[in-house]
Amino acid sequence: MNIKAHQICKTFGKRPVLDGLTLDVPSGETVVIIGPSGSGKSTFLRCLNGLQSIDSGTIQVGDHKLEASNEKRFSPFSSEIRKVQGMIFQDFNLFPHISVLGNVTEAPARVLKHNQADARNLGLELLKKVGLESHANHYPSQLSGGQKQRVAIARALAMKPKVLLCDEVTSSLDPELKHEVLDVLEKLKSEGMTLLMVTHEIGFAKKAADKVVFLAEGKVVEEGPPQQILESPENSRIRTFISKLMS
Amino acid sequence: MILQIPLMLLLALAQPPTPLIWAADEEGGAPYVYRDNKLGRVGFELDIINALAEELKRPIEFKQYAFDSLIPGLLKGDFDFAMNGLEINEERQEKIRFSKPYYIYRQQLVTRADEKRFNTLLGCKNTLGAIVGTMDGTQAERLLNQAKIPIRTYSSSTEAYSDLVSAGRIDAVFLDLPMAISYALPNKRLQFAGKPTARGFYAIGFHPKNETLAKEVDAAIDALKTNSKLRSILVKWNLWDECQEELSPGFLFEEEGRPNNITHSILEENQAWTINRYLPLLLEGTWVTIQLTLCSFALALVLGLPLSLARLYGSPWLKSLALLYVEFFRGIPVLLLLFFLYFGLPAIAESSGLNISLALSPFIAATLGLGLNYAAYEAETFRAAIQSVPQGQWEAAASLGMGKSLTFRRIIFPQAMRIALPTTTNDLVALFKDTSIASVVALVELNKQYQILAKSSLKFVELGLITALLYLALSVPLGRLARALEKKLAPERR
Repeated sequence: MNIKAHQICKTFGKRPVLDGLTLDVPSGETVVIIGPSGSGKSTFLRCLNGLQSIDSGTIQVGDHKLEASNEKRFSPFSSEIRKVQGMIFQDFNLFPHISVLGNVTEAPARVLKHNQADARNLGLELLKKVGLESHANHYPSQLSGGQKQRVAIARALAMKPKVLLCDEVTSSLDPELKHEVLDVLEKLKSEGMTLLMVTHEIGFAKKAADKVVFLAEGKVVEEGPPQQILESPENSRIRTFISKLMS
Repeated sequence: MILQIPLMLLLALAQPPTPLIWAADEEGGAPYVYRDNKLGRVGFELDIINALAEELKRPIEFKQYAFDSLIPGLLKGDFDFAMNGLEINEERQEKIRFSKPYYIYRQQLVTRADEKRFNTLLGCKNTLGAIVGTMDGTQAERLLNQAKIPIRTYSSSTEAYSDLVSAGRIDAVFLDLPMAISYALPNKRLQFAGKPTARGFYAIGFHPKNETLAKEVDAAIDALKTNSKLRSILVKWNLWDECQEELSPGFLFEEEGRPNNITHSILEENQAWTINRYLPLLLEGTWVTIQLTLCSFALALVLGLPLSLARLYGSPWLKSLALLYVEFFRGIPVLLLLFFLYFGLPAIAESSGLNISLALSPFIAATLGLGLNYAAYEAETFRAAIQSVPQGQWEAAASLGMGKSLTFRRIIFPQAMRIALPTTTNDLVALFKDTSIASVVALVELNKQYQILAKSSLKFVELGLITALLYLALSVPLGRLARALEKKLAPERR
């Protein structure tokens, strides 16, 4: 399922965060967004997921559309877009009071009204996919950061999304734990999942991305295949940015 | 030396004699000493005091003192003497020195004018469910207890009679004749049932070591009897009756004036205040305290949650209404609230011509008052707890397609309750202790039971320690539970 974002504008107070951002994510592709902090990367993902309103522009995910709306009347709960789109956060945001399996089965059981056995089978299957079926009855506080993020992925997958938005999902992990999360994402890509990721993992981008987008001041500065953007970008700002990331 | 004596004489002449301090309770009601809205402080005892001051050639100053505490206050030396319808009885005689009596009291049963079921104490006792109101620590209370008649005690006669006439929560009032004369006689809705009974004496109480002053006052009382000033005061207050003829000078209550037989037998019984006798009563009070704590806390929780939700998610109108509730009930003293619910509501119902009775039972009034008050605190606790659940939890649930109310029920609320639990448990401990306030609405909970027993037995220290132990036996484990929960549910451990 593809994503089309057209001329997205978003201001916080008077500060423009997204300034006419246009981006296409073709179905089944993995797109990596890089850019300096404050460039609007996370805000863009949150707008795509309907967690934040947009001032103008249009967003289309498959057949689902998000329109610009008044921020005061906006509710993050009304978006239909979650039926096809999952989101994974930097801070995991697991539900601390329910078990690992409960975290995964909560939404299918309550929103999709799966019966208990179905939800449980689905949950265990997804936990197996992220390599944590043995931790089904643990609580989030008993897991490492990498394990938590893998549970968060399983939780998002339980709603059968066609697109996954990943907002710096490895940024709060120790280096040795990052790969276990990235490995899971690579596996999802190979199964045909459309991935839109904000990340600083240049190595992962080179290996797995179909497209890399450099964002600055709420606009796309340059986009293209990873080799082009990461190794020989036209814009000098990208070169400086990447050399800083690599150092 | 030679110079000093005239100097001291001069000083003594220049300075007026130091005033005597007289303690009484203005709240006890008419006709002893009370506040009249036009005349200020009045009462037949005040008239007697003024006559005594003339005899003694010393000014006497009034000191407001709770009736319950007159004897402990006297022994503590807070004032020179107590005069406030103090009945002479043997327990008090062991503690304090009584003057010669200045009035011979009897007890009068008062019922509503339309009472058909009974017109004597015995009849009242045989009437199922009939409750008799009286005052704390009075001879009337002892008589009723001895006769095993169900009673409700008040701290003033006004409260007792108004509960009889307007609220109808009690069926009769049994109190000293002077109170009945000033309150019930002019009230067409009340009637005297039967003749006054159970004679006894009012006298002035002194510290036993203050024999000099007691003798002076005894002489002054005799003088007032001889010159008929006492008689004219009692006549003025409509208190003179044939009984008072016995108040001749030199009358010695120790020999002739023993309280009549019934009273005497109670006195003997009262002397044996052993732990076997009062512990069951204290435990009974403890049970009432526990019930009151649980009921009012349940009410506070049930009201507090919707209030917190209205504060957080309600329409602007609902939000300000909830805020108004919280500010109002946090801002007024519980004591005031309890008084209003118990004594105020029946009066409102009556004056507005409502046919329904708003006379709440003591337990219901206390539950409501404490519950309404604590609901304001719980609402704020819940609100803070709900707000302290990280925003990311809402977003994670939203991104999974969960709706707002589902997210609240399944994700936010359970976490908020864990956060609120230690504070809520602490509030429960506070409420448990605050239930002692319920004694003002005639509810005999642990604290009230202590007051009643201590006043009857005058064993303030011994009973106080046992009562404190009973409170501690419940509040300390509760407090420990709160701290354990706090540790267990601390954010870093979740």
